[in-house]
Amino acid sequence: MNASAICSELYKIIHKQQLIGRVHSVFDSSLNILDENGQLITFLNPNKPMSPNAIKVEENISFLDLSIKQGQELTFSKEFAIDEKGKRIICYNKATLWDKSPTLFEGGNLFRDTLENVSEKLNNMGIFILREGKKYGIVPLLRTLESRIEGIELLLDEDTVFSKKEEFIKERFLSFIDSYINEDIEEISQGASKIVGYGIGLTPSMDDFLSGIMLSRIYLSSYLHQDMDRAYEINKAIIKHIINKTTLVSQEMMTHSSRGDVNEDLRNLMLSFLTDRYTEGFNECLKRVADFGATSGTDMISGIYVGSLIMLLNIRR
Amino acid sequence: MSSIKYEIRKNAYYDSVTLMIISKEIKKIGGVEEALVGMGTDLNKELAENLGITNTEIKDLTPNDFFVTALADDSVEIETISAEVERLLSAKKSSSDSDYMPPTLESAINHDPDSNIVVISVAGEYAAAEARKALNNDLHVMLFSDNVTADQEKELKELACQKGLLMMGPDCGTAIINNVPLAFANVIKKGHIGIVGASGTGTQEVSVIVDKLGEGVSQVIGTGGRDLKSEIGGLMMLQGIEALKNDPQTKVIVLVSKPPAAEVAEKVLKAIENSPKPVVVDFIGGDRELIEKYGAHACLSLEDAARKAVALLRGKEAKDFEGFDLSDAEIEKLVDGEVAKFAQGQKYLRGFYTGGTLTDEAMKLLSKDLDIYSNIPLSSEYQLEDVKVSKEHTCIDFGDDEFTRGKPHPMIDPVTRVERLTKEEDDEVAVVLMDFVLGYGSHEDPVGEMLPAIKAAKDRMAAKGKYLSVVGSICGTENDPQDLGESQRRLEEAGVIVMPSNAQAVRLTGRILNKIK
Repeated sequence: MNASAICSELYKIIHKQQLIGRVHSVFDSSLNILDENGQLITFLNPNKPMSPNAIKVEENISFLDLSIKQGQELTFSKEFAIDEKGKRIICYNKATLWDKSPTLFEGGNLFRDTLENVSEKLNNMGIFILREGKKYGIVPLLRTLESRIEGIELLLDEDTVFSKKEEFIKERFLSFIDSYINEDIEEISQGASKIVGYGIGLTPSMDDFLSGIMLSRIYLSSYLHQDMDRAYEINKAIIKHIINKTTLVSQEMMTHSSRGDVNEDLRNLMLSFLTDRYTEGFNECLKRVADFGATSGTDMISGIYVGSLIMLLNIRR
Repeated sequence: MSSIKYEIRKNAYYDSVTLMIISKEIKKIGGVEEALVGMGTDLNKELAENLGITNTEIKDLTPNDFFVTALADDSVEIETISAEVERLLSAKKSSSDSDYMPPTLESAINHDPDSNIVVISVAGEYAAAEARKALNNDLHVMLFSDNVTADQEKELKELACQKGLLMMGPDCGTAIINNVPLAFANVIKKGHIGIVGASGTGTQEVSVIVDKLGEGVSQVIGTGGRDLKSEIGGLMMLQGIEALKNDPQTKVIVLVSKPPAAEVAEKVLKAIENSPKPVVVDFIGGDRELIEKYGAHACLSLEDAARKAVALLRGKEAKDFEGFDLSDAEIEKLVDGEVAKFAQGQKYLRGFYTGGTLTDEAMKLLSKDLDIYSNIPLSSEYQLEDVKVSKEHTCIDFGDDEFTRGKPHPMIDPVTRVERLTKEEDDEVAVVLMDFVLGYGSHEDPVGEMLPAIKAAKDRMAAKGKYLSVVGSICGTENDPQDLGESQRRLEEAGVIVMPSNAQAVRLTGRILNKIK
């Protein structure tokens, strides 16, 4: 297989030193390798958006069809990865380098949309979640935020009925949201550690939601000319106690999100949300993200929505 | 009594869609009171405890372990839950198989090595190469693509014949193999009538009427429209005949095609001459004498072919049918009712069809009394100069190339027919004749798409003190994804006379037009 793109950060690491990893998990359109430093390297097929620490392959294959098995060892040299028998699995010497860093306003190349337009898009995001979101993940819990976040009640589904699972988590969830609104670093860490890992998927719903919250923190801070160090500090607090509390894949995703490093679809969504000259339509970006996993996309959008509402309300105050 | 049933898979990772499905389905098992599916994160373990469905093993899980735990009454055995988990994991794999779009034939074969038929729909220039690859892998082929040369088609079909495979197409739009509809096909009951068809909607019409008459099909094999021309020599129709002769489920064979080249017709008919199974042949206007010379049953229409096949299957005599389901008196009343509403000078037909063979059948059945202009005329003198402009009596096949270049076929998107009816301004038109083809591949609501244009056309004529008669037929069964009954009801509500077959719709139209000549 040939790679069409490789994360530039990963490429740098591979060029500095040979990496050895073992196949962690294999899916239809992605394959994860856990390297000796405990980092996940992800192979993606062309249907998936480029992501941090990923290598995208050229051919539209299902990784389930390859003879790569869980636990198999792979060695990453400068130009290609080989298996235990020395067979080349993937060549990335001609792949395009992809930068995982967030595209922020500090670079001077982006044009901020007006606050009025951003608020309108945020409102549309809420309507999108309500009308088109997959509601069996985090969405029912948003109902609990009615008394906490001004304006959110307009977008809540009146018919939401809590299951035992939502009843189980809701007080902890509210406790975290309170600490997040108050920007209480210690409480944020404690609160996040009590809700992380909630949900059934490989990236549990709550983790997707928290990733969305963290992403909105980075991008909104940049948009609103706020202190970026503070933004990173808050996000760092969210992930402070997540180790061994969630799946490895989710842990990696949250760590990347805390720095604003996300896949290109999420990045495009944020740029479409906050800039005024973005080529791709906001609704198209929402739809693309909403297609992630079973509820992952909707859960992430919910996190971006709630995180952005909180930040915009804070500046109005 | 209830107890905890659980299953743990260490270091096992499944995507969230799979886990979500498992979670929902486990709860549906009778006797299961509560269930939790997920990875062994601290929070999920705590949740399991909170729900009262945990034990030591679950408490010891790591976030990288998958688990299912359920509180269920003692009648539910853990094996039931495990089997359901396993079934869903496999089902998910197959469902992701259907989502997975193999980029090459090779990867498709690797992905599903048990498949034995390939449906190919790629740009014409690549189609022959893909079909050749499939045949060389001993796979039957349905080639939906067109723009394959006659030489390529012949070579592919010869290869298929050598290997004992079916090479359906190019330009093959309809097949039902082992009850699986391919491309444009209706949901037809399983039965004992085998069809080999060189024409898509013709084959659909026959199979639909067989279904309406209470019987079903064993196999429907498409050949592609060029198969019975001299350059191909009917290779696939011959192959199809042999397949149906040898198929124990097939008791009656039906052949459907536009009139073949004379020498090909002879060759095909020779192949059925001593068939142990009765054979019904509808070469749409073909040579009746020749067909009967070889012991087959010739037909007057597609409906007649279906009726004869059903009669033969039931051990009855295959009689010609060129009438109506309604009584003569009812038909007379219907005709008189329509004729009475026309204004002076209204006399012309507009046949607006989505199905090519149905258009052809309509023109053949009406040609005794009417000269019909068309984009696919029966005689070149009636070729429309501009296919976008109707002239006197006109029948249009909107599925023909000039209407589908760069656009979907009108059975998929009827917009060209809708636009044409909307723009028709000829005050001398009396009757509009239409088909509505349901089934897989077709538009999800062909009737709904057409209704506003029908109503507008009727209103436009009414505003001028005239009347527009609209006669149609629906090629569809009760089990098609579109609602047959509802489709008919809406058409009738809009004032459309819906006949049980294309042939009956055409005959009724003929009677109306003859009366106002």
